[in-house]
Amino acid sequence: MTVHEAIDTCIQCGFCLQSCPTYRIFRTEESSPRGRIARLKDILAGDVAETPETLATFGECLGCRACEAACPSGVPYEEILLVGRAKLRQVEEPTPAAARLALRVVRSHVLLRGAKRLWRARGGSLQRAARRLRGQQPATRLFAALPEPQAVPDVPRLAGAAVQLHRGCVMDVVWPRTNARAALLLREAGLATDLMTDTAGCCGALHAHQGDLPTAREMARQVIAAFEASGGETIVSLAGGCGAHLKSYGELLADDPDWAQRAKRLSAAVQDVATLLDRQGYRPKAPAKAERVTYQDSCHLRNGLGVRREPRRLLAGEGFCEMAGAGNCCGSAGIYNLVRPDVSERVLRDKLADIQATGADTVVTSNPGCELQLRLAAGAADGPFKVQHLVDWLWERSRQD
Amino acid sequence: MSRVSAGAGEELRLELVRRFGKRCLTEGAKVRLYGYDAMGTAFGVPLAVVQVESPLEIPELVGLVQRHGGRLVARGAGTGLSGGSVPPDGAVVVSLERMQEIAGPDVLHRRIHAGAGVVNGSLDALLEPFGLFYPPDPASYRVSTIGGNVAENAGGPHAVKYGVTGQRVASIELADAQGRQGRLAAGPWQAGPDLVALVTGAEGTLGVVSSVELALEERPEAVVTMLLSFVEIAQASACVSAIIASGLVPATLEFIDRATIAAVEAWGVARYPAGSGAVLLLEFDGREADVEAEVVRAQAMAAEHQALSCETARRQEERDALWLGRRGAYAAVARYGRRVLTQDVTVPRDRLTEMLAAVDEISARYGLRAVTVGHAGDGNLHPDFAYDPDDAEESRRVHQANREVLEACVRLGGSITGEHGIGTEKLDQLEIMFGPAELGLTWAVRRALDPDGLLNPGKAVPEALRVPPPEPEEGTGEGPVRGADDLLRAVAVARRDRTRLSPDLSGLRTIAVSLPNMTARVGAGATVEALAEALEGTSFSFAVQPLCAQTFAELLATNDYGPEEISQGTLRRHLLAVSYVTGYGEHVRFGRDVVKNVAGYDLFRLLIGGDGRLGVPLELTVRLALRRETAWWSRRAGLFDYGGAKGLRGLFAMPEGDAYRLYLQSEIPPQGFEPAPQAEAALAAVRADLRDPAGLFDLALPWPQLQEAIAAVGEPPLLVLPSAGRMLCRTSRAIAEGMAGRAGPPASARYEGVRLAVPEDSLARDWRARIEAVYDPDAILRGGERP
Repeated sequence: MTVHEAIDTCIQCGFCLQSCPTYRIFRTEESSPRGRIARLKDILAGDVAETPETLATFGECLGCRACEAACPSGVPYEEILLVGRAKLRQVEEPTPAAARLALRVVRSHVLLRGAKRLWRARGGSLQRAARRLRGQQPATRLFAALPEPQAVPDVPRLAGAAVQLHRGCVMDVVWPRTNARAALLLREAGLATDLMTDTAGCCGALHAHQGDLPTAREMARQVIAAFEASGGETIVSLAGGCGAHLKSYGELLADDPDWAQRAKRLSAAVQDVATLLDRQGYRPKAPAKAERVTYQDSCHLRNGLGVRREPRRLLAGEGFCEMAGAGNCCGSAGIYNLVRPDVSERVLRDKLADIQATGADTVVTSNPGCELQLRLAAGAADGPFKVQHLVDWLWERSRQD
Repeated sequence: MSRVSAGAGEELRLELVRRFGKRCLTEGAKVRLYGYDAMGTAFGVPLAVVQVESPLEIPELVGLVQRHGGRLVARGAGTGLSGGSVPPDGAVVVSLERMQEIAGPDVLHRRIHAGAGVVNGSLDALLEPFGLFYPPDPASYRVSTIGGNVAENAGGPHAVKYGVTGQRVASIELADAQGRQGRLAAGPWQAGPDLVALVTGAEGTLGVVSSVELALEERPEAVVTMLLSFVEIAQASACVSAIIASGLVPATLEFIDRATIAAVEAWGVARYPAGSGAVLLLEFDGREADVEAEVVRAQAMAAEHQALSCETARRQEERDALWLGRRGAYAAVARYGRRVLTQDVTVPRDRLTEMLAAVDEISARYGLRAVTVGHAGDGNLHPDFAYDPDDAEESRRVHQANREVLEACVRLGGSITGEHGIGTEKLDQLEIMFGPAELGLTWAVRRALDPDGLLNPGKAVPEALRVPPPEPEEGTGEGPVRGADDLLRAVAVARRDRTRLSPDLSGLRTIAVSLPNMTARVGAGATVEALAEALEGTSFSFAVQPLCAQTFAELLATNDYGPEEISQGTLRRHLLAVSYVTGYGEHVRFGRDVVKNVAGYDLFRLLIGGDGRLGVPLELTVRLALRRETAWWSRRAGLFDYGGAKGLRGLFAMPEGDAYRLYLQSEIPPQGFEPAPQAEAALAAVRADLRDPAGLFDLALPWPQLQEAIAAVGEPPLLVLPSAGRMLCRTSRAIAEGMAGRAGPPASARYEGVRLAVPEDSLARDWRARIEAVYDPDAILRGGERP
């Protein structure tokens, strides 16, 4: 589908308005999905010039895709957004230094390995330093909210396993334990699973979402090649954002004759960890007891991959309570909280109120970005709550008596 | 085309920026985003967009725009389907999205005040803890605003049981075209004409609404949603007819055809049973036992009509899931083409099958496929044509077919728009439904209230010349009225002779009941009692039971009501059409025998409570309601000690010693009350007493002032209707007139008592005078006695 065709699927019914976090804050058409689509249409038609001001709305969008779920006409909003972001990138380098650094590091698996070693060796002391600076820059605050370096359980190699777990970038540096636990849980559930080689690197979602499509394509090719070499049939990711991006490789590389078919195959092979576990009938050995648990959807998992029920089925039990607005974005949105901390904080404020209304001790989520953002909220809350990735929560439940 | 010259426009723009700062958008890229609505085919570029945040800013803004000769278009969320909020090029858009203030709810009187920008769907969560709800639910309710709902008089699936937006609006705060702010009120204590009904559905052409007072409904104890699927459309449509004929009144009765099913399934929110050719979505609500019994009856009817499946959902999430697909149907149908022309025809509900057949025949003839969803329960159908607007030939066929569908609907006695509005889309099509007399009068009303065409020009009502009145003939024009011609003659004579017209309507007594359509057509001279007699032995009744008014002409003139007001409201909720002759001398008929109708201004409910000062009615169409099993209960108590009672149907109080005896009519025995079989007799005695108008003092006031007024009169009242703030007693005219600001004139021969209501807002007074000047230029219906 061309971007013109994508825009044309919108009949401007406005059903997306209330689903959009930025519309709910600003209540202007420009801050709504319908307004953004109309803006790109105006730009492509030459009615509006491409300037940092006219394109700013594409940077303001969280990219949560809640509008896609609300859209009866099936508008592929993300495709439209990415075109807008690419244009924004041409007129302005919007990202602050910390975000540029992050984007640079995750581009190369060599640098990622370095980051991983550095985190293991020095992560704790760097964090303590960051905590002392707390409250200054969004980047330092997020850094301080990261979990401490962790001991990782051993995952014996299982060459050629059908299920290949894509390690990711931030996941592999900061949450390697969660990746390993996921592989072990999937094995427990009866699926031959292995961790994919770290040379696959980052999926490139962050770059695509920043409008850097050439880099995103280059990184996609790297992942596809690694997956093909692994001999797996299914590729699974623990980050909702990465999963949804892997799923979109088919469109991302549709115009690349050498890669289009291979990208399509990979897109078809993407699965989410909760879906796989649920499908295998996996249930935690000791479901939630005294603890009160709630679930925050990862936007891309929910709206991009349509995975909504599966994590809830895994969490089901006496202590589970659904949060009002669980499907609303938490404001993490990739590196949005670095790029637009002002909007991100307003979104997070509402989320915190929703969490507190549930009275939950633990908030479970399915994406590292969301986990980090919620940890930031927990730090600011009066009665702090614990934040866990679904896999870590399941792991702990299956190791209790 | 802008009527503002470039220089003047620039000046206005600068002044708006000076006044509203960042809340005034003027950059081309930004204002273009306020140039469309959900219809998707109308577009205009405004001069500026002002985001107001307080009601006080609106009259100021109107004044500013007026001084510069500009035009102003109010906009909510821009989800309308007829171009109502699309600005003409160069107009100023006032965005009401930030008018988010909410006051209430007032639980005792079931009211809430909502700012124009409040999203309809957000009210539900707010009202739920109070056991209340706001019924109108247009498909866009999750995103559309209350202000927009009022402008378009939005409907929705629940209208079949609960009525549309207009039946829920108690008062409106607005700024008019002269830049004056005021509150228009309607209903029990406000004298007419019913200006609230006039503004509701006027698409922002008469005023910019800043906040609205809404009448709420008691939340039902149980709700069950049923999804019935059928292989053939004919089976579904036969099942609809059977349900209607059986006297079942579901809260919704929705129809979805095969093509819509496929589109909704592609969206992925709903799955329907494989092989479904048509689906019905029914909802029953009320007391649990009643609801379950109704579900069983509906299931039996589904089986009788070979339903493929019959699902029931009781939990909120399950019910929401069944509804989601229906609500998104319009936009889902866009999967079939680049644009969707959605129609909004409404016919008397017993003509629905004929309407469906007509749509099929017309679309086949034009080589088009109509995708149809509809509110089968109230005869409102949405046949949609998906098409490519760049394909000139296809567009032409679509528009011709559309016109034929509208003509067919009018032939069946329906309205060309049930809930989407006229906007710009149907401006040229109103003539299918109305003759020159109706169109001329409508335009005259528009001109009287907005002489410069400041507010939302080019929408809702087309420019039209007024039909000249007939020349007077020889004679006096007296004698009983047998039809419109007699009245027209009498009006012409009265205007010539400058005499007061008091026609004898006793000859207009016909009553024609249509049970399948749940309506009755009654002659203006027929009595409310006669209609009750005609309905004896059926499961329907006419809900309004006035205390003083005898004939329908009197009921219309006085907006009288009885103890049922607490649950049934006043005549406004039950009136569907009136044919009448104006004091100017034109015979018009506004409204149709349908619940949903938003074609043009509501110039029939306007007559409610107007003391007969605008026109003389010939015939009315009223809505019938399902009879309910109720009983009377009573106890000695304070006037307002009925709070928290559930299932209330009626309420009145009579003095007993130094307190009151409170009578409750209810489906559920209220706590702390004893059975009161004597209630009906007590009420009948009061009604009989009220026939003697001597010294009768009939007063209605907002609740806080009611007790004060009773004390001031000094006499014990004959009867009090606490929910309406109404009290009837006998006292001297001097006391009666002395204690309130304004005394109304005798409303009819049978109603000669003094009737008091709260003094009108100055805006309402001015509007009434302007409208009376249009309707009755020579004051033949007024005699000029009203101060």
